[in-house]
Amino acid sequence: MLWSIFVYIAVYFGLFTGIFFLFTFFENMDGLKERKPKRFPKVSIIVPAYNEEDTLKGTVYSLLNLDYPKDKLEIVVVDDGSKDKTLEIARQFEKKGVMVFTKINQGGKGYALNFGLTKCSGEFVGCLDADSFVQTNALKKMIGYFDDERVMAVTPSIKVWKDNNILQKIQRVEYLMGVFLRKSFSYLDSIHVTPGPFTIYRKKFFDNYGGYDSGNLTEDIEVALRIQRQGFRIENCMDANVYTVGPRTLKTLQRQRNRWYVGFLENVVNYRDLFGLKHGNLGLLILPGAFISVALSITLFSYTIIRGIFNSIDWFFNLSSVGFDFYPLLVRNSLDNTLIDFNPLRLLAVFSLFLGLAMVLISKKYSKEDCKVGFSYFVYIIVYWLLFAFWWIVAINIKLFKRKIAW
Amino acid sequence: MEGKKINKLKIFSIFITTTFIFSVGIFFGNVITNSQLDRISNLQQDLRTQTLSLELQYALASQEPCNLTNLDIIGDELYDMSELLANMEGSLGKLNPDVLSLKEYYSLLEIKHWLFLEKVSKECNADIPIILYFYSNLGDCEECERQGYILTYLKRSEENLNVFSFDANIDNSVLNGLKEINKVEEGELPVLIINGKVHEGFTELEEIKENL
Repeated sequence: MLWSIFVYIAVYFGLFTGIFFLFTFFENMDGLKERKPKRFPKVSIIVPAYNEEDTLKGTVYSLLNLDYPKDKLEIVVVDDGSKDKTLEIARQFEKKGVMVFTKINQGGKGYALNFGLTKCSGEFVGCLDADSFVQTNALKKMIGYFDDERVMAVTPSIKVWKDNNILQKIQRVEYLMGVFLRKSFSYLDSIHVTPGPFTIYRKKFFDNYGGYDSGNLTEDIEVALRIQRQGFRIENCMDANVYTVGPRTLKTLQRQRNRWYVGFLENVVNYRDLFGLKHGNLGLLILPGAFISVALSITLFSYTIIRGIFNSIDWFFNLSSVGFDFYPLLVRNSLDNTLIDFNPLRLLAVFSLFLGLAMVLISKKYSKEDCKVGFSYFVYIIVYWLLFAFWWIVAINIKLFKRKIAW
Repeated sequence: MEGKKINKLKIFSIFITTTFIFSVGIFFGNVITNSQLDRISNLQQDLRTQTLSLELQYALASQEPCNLTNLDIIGDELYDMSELLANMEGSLGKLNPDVLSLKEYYSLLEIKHWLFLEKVSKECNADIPIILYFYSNLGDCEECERQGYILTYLKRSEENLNVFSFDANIDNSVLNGLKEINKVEEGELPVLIINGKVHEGFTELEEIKENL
């Protein structure tokens, strides 16, 4: 009984947030209009690279191919003490005007970014991780948002580059969901992550309020929260696409999420003053909502796993009682058993799934993505929430027991 | 663009919208669940008609009273209905009055069919294997689930077997009478009565087979 009440609360919360974001998106459709830039200011892009010999070439080519005045674009590759051929590959681009620097690895992308900042001369500065690729028109689309002087950063839509396995298919849907959410967050002035792949910043923000927090696990969350704390704005350009390579194995994905979630926890604790009425939607709805969704997911996950274990034990003992001869049990019920157990909870859960699908389809439409997501969404729905809860359990465990986490 | 300001009216509207959708979901979910209850009720009605029809056939077939063909069908359907009722228990709760009422009626149908089979067995000197199974699903009978599993297995693997399962917690005078006659104690559940012989507590598959 208690459990049913909890599940109903979780479903209500899911419905409320889903409707809230969809409502926010549709009431601000004007925000999707293209912001044509009045001028083309100089933009510097830092490419921090550590052992990225496989992908660096594609990353730099994507920057060189940007549809933006060449004399207004500065590309700065920072080799962060790579042990492979990253530096050698980067040097090949020097004759194309790319600035290449190398430094000793100090552990953490923030160090490389701060180093890069000292070499940049643009009015705006961005970063592109060396495993990401940017669409030709992205920068042109994004720069117009800076006509509003209060805007300190503009985020693009980040998508997964090629989904070769189930894990990457799940990430593709997750990122598409993120595209929708980030746009909705921008309407609510609540973007709390300015992702590594191709967020563009007004450089004067770094000049006035300091560079990246070097040792931070998620320096992109820290900068975003700092911008919010100062009362500036972060925008999102939904049809400026950046593609990133999603981790291929569970192990690498787990490592990435450990860093993201522990980093999120640490930064939110450091910026806890952002909670509350003073910071509007961010402080009252978005940040508390993030924690509520984590708490609900972890509880649902724990219950499902524990129940699954007990059911499996029962199933094993039941089968052992009949000598594991399960064939007779597969015989169909003699009555026309078309009873569909559609209790209210399941009906509402199905409705919530359609809300989620609507978000993914909106992302596809407005970010001009033509990939098919039908099967991927199905896999995502079944697996993602379990992974999400598991990652959070691991992250909380790391924080509670003060375990070290590698960058 | 609403920016940093909180739009209380918007939040209130979304609260109302969510509550409306939530309520509609619960309403329709309940409508569907109740329609399933109605279906079980109709199935029971069909079974009642079939039982009656069988009795009449028996009375009319004075020349060949022991050649009735649909004895097994009714037995199978009766047993399978217990699965549907178990599904409904899962959806609506074990103590839901509608479910309890359907289960009570179901038990009476079972008793009726069991008595009929006993009669056929005696008068036609037929060997009809019968198991009466008393259980509880209120958490006070640890082995009942496993016992039920074994009986389902047996029912599915042996075509002629007739299994009648009774929830020992149903308070019905006929069922109470049946429990009293067979001295079924609630503390001894699960209880099986195999061809008239009482077995208290969990009974292994092999033991059941030996007694059939």
